[in-house]
Amino acid sequence: MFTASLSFLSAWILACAVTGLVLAAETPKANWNAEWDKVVAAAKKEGRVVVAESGGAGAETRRLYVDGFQKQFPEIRVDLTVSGGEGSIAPRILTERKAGRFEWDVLTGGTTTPIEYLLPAGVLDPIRPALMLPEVTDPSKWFGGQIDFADKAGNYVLVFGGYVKPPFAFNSKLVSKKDIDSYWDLLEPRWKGKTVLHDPRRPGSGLAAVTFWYGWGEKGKEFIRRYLTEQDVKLTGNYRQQLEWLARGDYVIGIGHNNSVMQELLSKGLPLAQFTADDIKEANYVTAAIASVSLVNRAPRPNAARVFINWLLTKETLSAWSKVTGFWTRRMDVSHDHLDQGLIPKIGKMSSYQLNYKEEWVEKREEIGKFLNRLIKQ
Amino acid sequence: MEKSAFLEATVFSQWRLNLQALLLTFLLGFVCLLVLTPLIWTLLNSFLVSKPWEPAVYGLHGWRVAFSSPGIQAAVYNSFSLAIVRQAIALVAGVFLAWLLARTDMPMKRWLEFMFWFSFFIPALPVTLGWILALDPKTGVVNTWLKSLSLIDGPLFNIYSFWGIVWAHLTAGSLGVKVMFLTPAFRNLDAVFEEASRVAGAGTMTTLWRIIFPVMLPSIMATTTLGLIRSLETFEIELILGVPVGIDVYSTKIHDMIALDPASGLGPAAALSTFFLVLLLLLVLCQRILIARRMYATVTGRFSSRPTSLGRWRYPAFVLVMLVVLTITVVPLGFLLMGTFMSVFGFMNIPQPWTLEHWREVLRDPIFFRSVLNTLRVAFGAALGGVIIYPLIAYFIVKSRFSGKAVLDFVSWLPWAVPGILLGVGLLWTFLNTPGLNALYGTVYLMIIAIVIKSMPVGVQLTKSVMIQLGNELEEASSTCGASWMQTYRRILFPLLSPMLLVAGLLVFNSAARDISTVVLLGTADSKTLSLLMLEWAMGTGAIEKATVIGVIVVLIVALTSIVARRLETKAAIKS
Repeated sequence: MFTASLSFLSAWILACAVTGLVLAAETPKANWNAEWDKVVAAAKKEGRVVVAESGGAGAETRRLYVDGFQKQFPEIRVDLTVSGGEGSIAPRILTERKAGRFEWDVLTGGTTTPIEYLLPAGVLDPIRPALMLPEVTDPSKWFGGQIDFADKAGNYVLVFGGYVKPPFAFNSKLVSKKDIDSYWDLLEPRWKGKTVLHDPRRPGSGLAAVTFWYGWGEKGKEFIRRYLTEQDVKLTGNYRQQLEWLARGDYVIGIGHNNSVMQELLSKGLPLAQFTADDIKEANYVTAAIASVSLVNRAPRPNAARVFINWLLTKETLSAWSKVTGFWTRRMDVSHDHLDQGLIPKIGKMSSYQLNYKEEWVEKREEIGKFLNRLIKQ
Repeated sequence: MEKSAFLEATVFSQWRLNLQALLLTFLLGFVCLLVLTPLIWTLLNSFLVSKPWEPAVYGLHGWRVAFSSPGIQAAVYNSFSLAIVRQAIALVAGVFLAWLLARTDMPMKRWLEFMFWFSFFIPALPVTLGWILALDPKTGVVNTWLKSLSLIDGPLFNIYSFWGIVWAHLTAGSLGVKVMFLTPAFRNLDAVFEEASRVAGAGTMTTLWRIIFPVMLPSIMATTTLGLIRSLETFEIELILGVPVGIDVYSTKIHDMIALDPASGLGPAAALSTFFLVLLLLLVLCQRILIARRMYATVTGRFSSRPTSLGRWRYPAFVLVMLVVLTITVVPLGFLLMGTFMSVFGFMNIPQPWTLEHWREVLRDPIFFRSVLNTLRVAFGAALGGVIIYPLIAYFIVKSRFSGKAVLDFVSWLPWAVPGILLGVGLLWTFLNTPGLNALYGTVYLMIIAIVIKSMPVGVQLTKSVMIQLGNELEEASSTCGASWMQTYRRILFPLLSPMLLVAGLLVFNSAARDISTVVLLGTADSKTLSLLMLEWAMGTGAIEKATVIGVIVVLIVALTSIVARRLETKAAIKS
């Protein structure tokens, strides 16, 4: 009897414990749901979210941000402004704020604009508290088991994608992969006057490439000096022009090219190809491309901003994003089968990549800029 | 009774004077606020050495950077040589063409003149792309065709060169704008001058050179000065055709300074702009000295506009003008249209070079229709604002005796002293910090004001050039008949000015439809115009083909407006 009572008691305690655990597990879910509904309702009242894109996103990406979001939240309109290039939205935001106007809610694009211009000016709010959906906040969903940030504080510039930068684009009729297996090959006389670099003095892929070389230390500086002063390098600030020149044969190797433009032109049959990181002896670098998002402080529509950021970081949105941009996303549950596998960072090789979208590299760019200004006379 | 009438007349006269003084003061204040504030902002920023988020620190660093940056001397030299060469060609050709269109019996003059208007309204960016398609040294259709006929070994034409840039400019508006400005002025010329010259035994060309040219000097000087200033500020064509082959100009350097360093580049860019401002002042001064002490009234109460007979040269002249017109309109437009159907702009040797996809994508995009509506709102608003404000400013500069008119005249030139991108930043700052205007931030109204300011030099100078030709006797006769100043302005001056005002209005409309740099910082996602959409699609990842589709649509809009304006102008022309 006593034993039976004990068994019953044990069973009852176990049942209570299980129920308690289940309830404990259920409560936060219920909490986030209620909280999320409240934020969405408030966002609907705000009616719109104003987003600045600083990376020159393509038409399909813009369509995803505007139409994709509004399909899910028809009551919240997205007013998206795509600026002329990294950095160019910053003077406008800063001028407005000096005059007491707070127009923007969310910033997306590369990491240069938020880190180099907006973070020092105190324009950004911590983004972590704005993350609400469990599928977004769950670290296990993200590459390396954590949400990545470009800023040192790990709280302002959230990075949700990028790729391992292919070192070169080239004209597939005039160059073969056998011709080059190291960056140092670019210094050979046969490539003199034949290479075109995206202008590294402006924020963008050319600067990312030079930052990578600069990270080699004195050897890297020597490489940059010789490459820029001895090899008659052509500079351009236009990604499309860079690849068109390659396709026409005006130049044969392009450095700091844009992967989206590359994919688009390749799909049209232009004679272009690219080296992946595996084709080159040296290690490579991971870039965030246009895959960062930040929350602007004193945003006039804070709830709509939170809804947009959470929507952007869901599996569904980032799956679509990866397809339209051709970039890798840091979400582990997004399929990347459509991508060239050379673009995807390998978890075991992370220590060998330079993560040059991070603040410690971005803040070196002033120093790199001065170094480049001494070399470039164009 | 007589004393009472005298008093009444005196009071009325004083009131009229006060009304004019009030209006002038208001105009002066309004124009100075909108024009000078961005310029003062530019000057101040040329000395700013701190970053936007740091406390303001002033110094000469910006000036040092501006004038020691690599290639700056070559850029200034290129700016002047390109501007002078193309203005010289456009001026000689423009005077001759305008004279043919306005003063001779050449057939189909009105239609040909309209085509020059039209050539000016085609946005420069798509025209340049059209010429690249035709004259690229490697893939250009014309070079390839000539090569296939074994007429040449290498490329005959190279659009990426000094002369390529000159050519693109001439066809993208430099010639068209000269003809547009000068033809109405030629038309207002009293035929008495030509008849007197002929009676004195002078031939047609002697009359053109010795009589008409000097009498037309104000209009010619105005258009030349405007053209020269405008040439120094141009940007897109040099960026596309010059920069790839190392031909930098002053404006591309300014663009580079801001693009390369958005935080600290504003100082050097503003310093270069201030330097340019001084050059502009010198140009304006030269113009004023040249035309200061002469009388140029060519439309009087005895006005006659009988055309000069070209005799056997009538049809050869027609063919010549027709060829020019086709070269600057149909040819680039044809290539432009062709470009919109190309899978990849400029590439014909790919598997599927032709497609309708770009048109489909543009026309099914909701943002396109929003942008069309915004463009029309901004363009009509700016044209209307310009047509009201410019003649008032011109009237006070030319006809009034107030001492402030010299200041007004000078200030009206200034919006062209600063490149569009800097003026845009300056206007942004002005609008944000001016109570009243602040409330308009983010709406199309600010874009309208910005376009009216940016187009002020051309609008005012155009109207002035005709205003100078109007004799005071028309106003005096109206006043004698008892008309008030406002009645005289509305019933006599405004109709006489209307052909030129339509040109000015159309010009402003066109600027609004295609301006990018001035409004790029003022436009929001809500107020985006077609030109901003074109920029968005052309930049970054570069959907250049879709941008070209927008270019064609902008051309269609301005062509339609041109036809309407032309019809209105025909009704309002002096000869009627």
